[in-house]
Amino acid sequence: MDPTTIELMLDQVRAIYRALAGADLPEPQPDSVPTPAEEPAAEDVVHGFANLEALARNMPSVIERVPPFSFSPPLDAFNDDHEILIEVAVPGVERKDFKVERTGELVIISGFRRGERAANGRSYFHAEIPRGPFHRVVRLPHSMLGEPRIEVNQGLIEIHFPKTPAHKPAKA
Amino acid sequence: MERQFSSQDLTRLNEAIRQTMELIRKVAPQYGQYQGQYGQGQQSPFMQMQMGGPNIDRIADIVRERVAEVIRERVADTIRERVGEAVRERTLETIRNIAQQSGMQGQMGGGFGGGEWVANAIRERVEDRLRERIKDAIRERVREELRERVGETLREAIQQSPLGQMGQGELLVAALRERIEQNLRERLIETLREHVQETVREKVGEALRNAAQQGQLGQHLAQGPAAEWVAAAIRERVEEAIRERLGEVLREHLREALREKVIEAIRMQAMQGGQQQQFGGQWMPQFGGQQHFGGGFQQFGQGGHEYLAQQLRSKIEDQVRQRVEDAVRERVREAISERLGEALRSALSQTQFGGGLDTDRIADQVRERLSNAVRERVGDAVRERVGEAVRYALSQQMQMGGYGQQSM
Repeated sequence: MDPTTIELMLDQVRAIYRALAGADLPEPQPDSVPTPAEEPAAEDVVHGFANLEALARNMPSVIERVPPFSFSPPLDAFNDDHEILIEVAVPGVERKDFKVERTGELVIISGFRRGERAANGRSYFHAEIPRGPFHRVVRLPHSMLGEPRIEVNQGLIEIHFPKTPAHKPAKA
Repeated sequence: MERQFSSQDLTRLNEAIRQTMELIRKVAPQYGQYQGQYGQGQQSPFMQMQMGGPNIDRIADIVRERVAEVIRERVADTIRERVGEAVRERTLETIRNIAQQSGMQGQMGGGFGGGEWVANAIRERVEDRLRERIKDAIRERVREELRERVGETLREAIQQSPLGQMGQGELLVAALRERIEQNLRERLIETLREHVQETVREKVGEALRNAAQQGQLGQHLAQGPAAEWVAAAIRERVEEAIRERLGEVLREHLREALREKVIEAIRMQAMQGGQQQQFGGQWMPQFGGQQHFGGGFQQFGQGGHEYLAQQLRSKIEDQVRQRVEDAVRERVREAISERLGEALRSALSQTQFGGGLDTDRIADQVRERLSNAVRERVGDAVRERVGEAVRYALSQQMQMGGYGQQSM
């Protein structure tokens, strides 16, 4: 599991705590390193997190002030003579926060949105914009496209797949 | 982007979760006994994402909207046409028979012309009113039902699915079928029954009253053997309309809507990316099993639509339609036979106005007696028959080895 994911999960727990208590979650002692016997299994922690999320989502006073965690961002795909362009809308995303993979005709865009933290006296008054991990897969119309050029532009991840000569329309 | 987390990170998160859960128990004691929904069918958005949840929700939304809209339009329009036609045909046929058997053609007011007039008047009034009422009622009921059932069913089916992809497809289809059928059919039948009864009560009464006022229907029909024939005419009309027309409408359009729209929704979702194949494994590698959830949907994206369509069509319709139709036909016939004649006789015998038809009284009595009788009998019968049909379909499916020992 990626440490950034753990960090985002922890932020989410803090946001829930703050929405409930009106105060920050007490931070653990910095020197409390667990022994191997005490170390929780990653799967158990994820289960616990999921349960906490489920519980929090049933509480009206919490759900309004805790952003949705994990999401599938909307995307557009364009096709022209020269390239296929995929735009994925993830507000505030930075290039280091996501990756683009390709398997045959599938393009996989995954990463995370950090968003704002609810900590150090700062809390959500209203929270709608999702944060945490995101994931989308797009099926390309052609498998033999060139290497993609990836840019981030005003909250849009732009993935340009250049067309090889075989996929460009023949000139009249 | 890939780094390994430390034990300390995980412990901090675990401790934060524990403290927050503890806080919830203190500030919201009603959640004090909360044992976690995870693994019991309902998941948080986070876990839903791990298991393909957001896409399930999208499918559910798309299915709900599309099926509701399609059923609303198609069923309402077809009911209008078919029930209207049935009402006209049967009314006319019965009025002709009455006239022929009793030699009363001349007393019908306009003779056969009077019969036509009455039949058309009833048809027009019933079909327009019925269409409007049923249209909105069906949309609401279908939407409610699908809202409750589709997402939940898909999630459960995926959770319970065996690792084999074919097994998952079977299970998904079976689960969808069971949930949607069981509830939607009852709600639809309830809706249709109420609206048919109400509409017939209002509009038949109105049409008969107009016919009597305009001299198209002789007053003698209020008494003696003619009253029985009128009762038979109404009985025939209502029974035939319900048995033949509504059965056809439900069968055709429910089947069509489910087949087309469920598949369309799933196909659209598959085109959006086959996301499920990748969910979880990318950033939560400990959930190795999630690859299988994706695999099942991948199946739908690559030709499984047809398979799903076939399953939905054949299993929903073949096993349930006949039984429900039989049940409705039998019980409605029983109920109407017993109660309608009695209601009409009673109402007609109390008519005090020079032998004229007190149609409001007739309508009220008919409505009251039919409503009670039909509600009891049809509801029970449909539940019973649908249960039988679903059990039969499931046992067949299991014998065919579709999903082995999975519990449903």
